[in-house]
Amino acid sequence: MFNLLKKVRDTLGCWFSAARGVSCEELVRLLIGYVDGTLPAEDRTRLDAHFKDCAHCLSMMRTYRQTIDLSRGVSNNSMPSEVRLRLQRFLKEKIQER
Amino acid sequence: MARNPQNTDTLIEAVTRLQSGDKAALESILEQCQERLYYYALKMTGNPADAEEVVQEVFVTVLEKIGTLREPGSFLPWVFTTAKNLCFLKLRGRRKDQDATVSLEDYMPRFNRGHIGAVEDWSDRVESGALSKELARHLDAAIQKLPIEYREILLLRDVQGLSAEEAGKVCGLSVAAVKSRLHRARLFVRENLSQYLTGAGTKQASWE
Ligand SMILES: [Zn+2]
Repeated sequence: MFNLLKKVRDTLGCWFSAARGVSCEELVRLLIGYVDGTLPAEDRTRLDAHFKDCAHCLSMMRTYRQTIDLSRGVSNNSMPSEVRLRLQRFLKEKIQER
Repeated sequence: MARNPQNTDTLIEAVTRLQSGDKAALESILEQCQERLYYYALKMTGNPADAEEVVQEVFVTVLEKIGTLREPGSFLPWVFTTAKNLCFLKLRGRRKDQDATVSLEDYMPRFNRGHIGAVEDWSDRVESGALSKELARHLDAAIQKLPIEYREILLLRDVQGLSAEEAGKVCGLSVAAVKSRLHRARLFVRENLSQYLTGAGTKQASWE
């Protein structure tokens, strides 16, 4: 029952937001500018208003942002120590050659 | 999204020192860049041996051509351009890998007359910055699945932290093109993580 009410609320919220000017589809298109901070202030305000009413778009924005944050850490510790050693040795020789 | 300014400063310092003939500065550059270059080359070529060779060749170029770099501040775009060209040389002649079959469209958000379908918020379930081994493996696999023209942008922009302008320079694209590809790449990776973290989404792969 609670779930049903929640669903109705989310759906209604979504329709209200659309009436105010930005649809979910448009919001997702503008998400990159919103998250990277390059979106003009008036669009930002419209998106913020949409987030207040639409839980799905809020989830989309939060998980989109989290995806970017996680990507920043993915290259750490990717290089095996033997590759590191070989590279060091290789460059030492290169420097001595010159 | 900005690079740690302190790190960038010490990198620029080391580049400047190398340019003035101090070979020892190469060690500092190596320490600051090898990991990220290796990961980039590994994801671009999909092959550890190729990645290792690319990193070696990049540093040989750094050693030999550092004098041609006008602005020490554009070291990263310069070095990634070199890496990118070497990666594409490795890929040339190799048959198209299986990831050409991935359709980005299958991983984009669905809309019904402008309204988005249900989206679950898993952002609190993972701590940003603290990437568990298991999650890192899924993220890694999602990045590898991206078609290369999307993968290269996500690697440069989100993994390496280059600006949209710098990434555009490396890939020969306008800032607008970088942003449009990056957005789709992020949505694709987000959906992949979503399916892993919520156990939801298209499951047809696991039935086969
Ligand atoms: Zn919405």
